[in-house]
Amino acid sequence: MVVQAIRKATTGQNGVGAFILQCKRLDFHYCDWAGSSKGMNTFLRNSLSKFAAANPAVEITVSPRPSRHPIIKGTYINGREKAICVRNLTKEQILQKAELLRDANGEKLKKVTKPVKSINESVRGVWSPYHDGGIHV
Amino acid sequence: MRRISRSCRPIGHLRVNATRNTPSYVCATCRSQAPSFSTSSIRTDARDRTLGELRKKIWGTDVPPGLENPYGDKSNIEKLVVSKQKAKGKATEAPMKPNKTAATTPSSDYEPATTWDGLEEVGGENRNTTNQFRGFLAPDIVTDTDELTAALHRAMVEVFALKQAGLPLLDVSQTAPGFDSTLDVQIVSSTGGVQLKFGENSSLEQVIQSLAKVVDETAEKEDPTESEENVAADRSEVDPLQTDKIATPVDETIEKGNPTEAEEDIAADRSEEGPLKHAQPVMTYEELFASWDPSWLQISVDDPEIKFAVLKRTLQLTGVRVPDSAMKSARTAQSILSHLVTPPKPRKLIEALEQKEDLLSLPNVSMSGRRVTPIDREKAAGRWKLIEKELESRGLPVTGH
Repeated sequence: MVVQAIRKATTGQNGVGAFILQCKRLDFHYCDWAGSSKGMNTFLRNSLSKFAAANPAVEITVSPRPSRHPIIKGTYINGREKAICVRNLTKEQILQKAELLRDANGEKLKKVTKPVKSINESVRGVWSPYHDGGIHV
Repeated sequence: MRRISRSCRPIGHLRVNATRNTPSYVCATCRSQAPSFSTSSIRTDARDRTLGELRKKIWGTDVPPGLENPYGDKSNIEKLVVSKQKAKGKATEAPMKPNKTAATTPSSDYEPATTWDGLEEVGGENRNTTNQFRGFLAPDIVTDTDELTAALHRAMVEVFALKQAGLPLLDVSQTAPGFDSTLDVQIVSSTGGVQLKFGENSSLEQVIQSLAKVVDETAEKEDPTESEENVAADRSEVDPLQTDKIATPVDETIEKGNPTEAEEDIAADRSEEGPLKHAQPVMTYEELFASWDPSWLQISVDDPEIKFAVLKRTLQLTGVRVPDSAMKSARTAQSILSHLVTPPKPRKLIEALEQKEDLLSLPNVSMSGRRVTPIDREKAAGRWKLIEKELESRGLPVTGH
């Protein structure tokens, strides 16, 4: 008897049914001494608790990285990592970067050339009212 | 620019005259600006001639009034003074103007001046002995929390003792801080107001007396009243410690160590007088604070007069200044203490983060005080023991960080 795989009726898509955040961990690295970490240190003092409370699904670690520029490193469930150097940034800018890493999916950045991204792309493309025969009344 | 350079030219002649007596050293900035004046080679006679012509031109006469050289010579008033001094004669001038060498090394023929005419400075040989400045604040600013707490308690007791005695509250800081007679005094707030409870070793009189405007202790002993005699007797055993009043409770641990025979004898002698008298010196700050009613921190200092007196006395005792904004908002002794005792600023970020309750309570946040190394990650994953074992079995060094 030949074993047959169960045919899949649909393809799973994140957010359809359930949404799983792709970012699983954010590492915040700072330096106590260097001036480029000033904004990062302010962020950790003032804004981190609010950010961490708003994102309970993301594990957050804080550790020093002496004599280096401050970075935020995101680890994703696809096994990839993304790191952003936040030297000389203000705490508001660092919060933006942290949100960017949190919202990222961990994939490599790709150039988006097509207007529609789909697992079942249309052969005919996007319908346009100007490229039809027109309606004759 | 053009107008400025033109106006500079006639002033240039005068400027050279005015700055003729300046010292030889010229700073870099002045030197860079100097050429506009210095490049014109003006000889003295030529300069005087130019000046004379200028003055004639200004006044419109051949005989202009005023000085020949208004920028260099002494003024008429100064000349008058010099001529008057000359007229007085050298005989009177010599003793009146003590030269500098005489002032620094007094000689036997020194005669103090009878009038101040012609004297450059007023004061005799013993001038400096009378002017010994003693500051209001403590010479060293107190930073220790326990000492600050004790000082605040002392200030509170003293101020409320003065209030109880009906004396003006600002008398509290009239005298330099001496022996602390308030260690045994309880200050409690009750429904009727603030009450002072005096222990065996203390009394209201004693506290008031310690604040009296008598600095010299011996002066008190010369004609003591009965109560003063008692006070003096009480004080006599702690006399050597008077200069160092707040430090007494701390230093006792040293004294406790191994008492000599003589000390033991003294202790035995004192035991008749009362157990508290020698128990007091061997008291640490913790014991001292425990002996006080904890409600003293809740005593209201809303009355501006009391608040000001307490803050002034605390400032005198500790040298710690409470900011004006804090003064206004402080309502209890506790709030004053919180401003006096400021926790040291954390030197490292992790120390500051570890004080944040909201961050520590979050389950998804973890912090490390040092760099997270690859070995730390392996340990977290539970692989490091295996790696170590494997490295050893292969005879490889276990390195890394």
